[in-house]
Amino acid sequence: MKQRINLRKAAEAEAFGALAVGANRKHRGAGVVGRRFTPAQNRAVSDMARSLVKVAREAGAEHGRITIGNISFELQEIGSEEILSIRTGT
Amino acid sequence: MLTRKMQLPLAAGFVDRRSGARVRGLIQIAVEEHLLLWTSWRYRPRDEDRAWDWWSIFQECRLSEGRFECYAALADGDLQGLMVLDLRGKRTGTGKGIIVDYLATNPANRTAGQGLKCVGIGLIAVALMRSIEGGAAGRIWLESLPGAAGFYESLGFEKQPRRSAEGNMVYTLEPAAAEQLLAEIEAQGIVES
Repeated sequence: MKQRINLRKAAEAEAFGALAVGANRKHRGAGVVGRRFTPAQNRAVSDMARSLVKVAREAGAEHGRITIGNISFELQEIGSEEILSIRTGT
Repeated sequence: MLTRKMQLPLAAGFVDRRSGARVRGLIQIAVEEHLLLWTSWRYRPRDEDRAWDWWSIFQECRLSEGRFECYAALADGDLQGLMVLDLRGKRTGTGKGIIVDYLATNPANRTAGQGLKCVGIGLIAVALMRSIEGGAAGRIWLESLPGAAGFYESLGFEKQPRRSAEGNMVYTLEPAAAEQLLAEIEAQGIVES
């Protein structure tokens, strides 16, 4: 069915924000390599991630971006999730 | 058949939701500086794209040898939207169209009465121009997130009967509608060619 163009309505509908997601999303979500880890590696990565979150919190990264050495951290809590942003070479 | 060359950066005219005033902006190929601005986007728990890692998406575009292009919409000294095009394309009803692979606006623009509007429309205009420039006559193929169906339908996209493999709605734009849409977007001053 052909649709009529209505830019005003489209502009209001933009408030939904995320508008399109691609056919390649599935392949891109796993990263370029998509490497599989062993169970032991999975545990090690999980432990390391938890440790980093803990260190970032202890360093005050919940209140804003902080720098340790040449790495900066910022920790956000959204609902039940904690999101740790790490930037290298700062 | 439509033919034209897109000149980047492209001057854009977004609209302040609160005052209705025109806000001048630019749309251009994204660079690292724009991705740094992305780190200041603050998502809400309900935002469908809150897990999208634009750093990774951007890096993949750069490594894609021209297949993927990442565009940034800028205004008020901030990043207002990002879009990725896949130039390898996909068949629409009448020929091959380019794919709008990712499209998102700054979460600050997602609250009624706040931020800017017409950012997504401006980015779609760039997709149209790129499709025309690449010989696809304005054809576009994309998967819409559930909340965005009204956006695409208001732009004249046609919903396809079959969903994507991931269960998303598929929309296409064909040349006649593309030409009309681009003309209306330019007439409204959302982009200037």
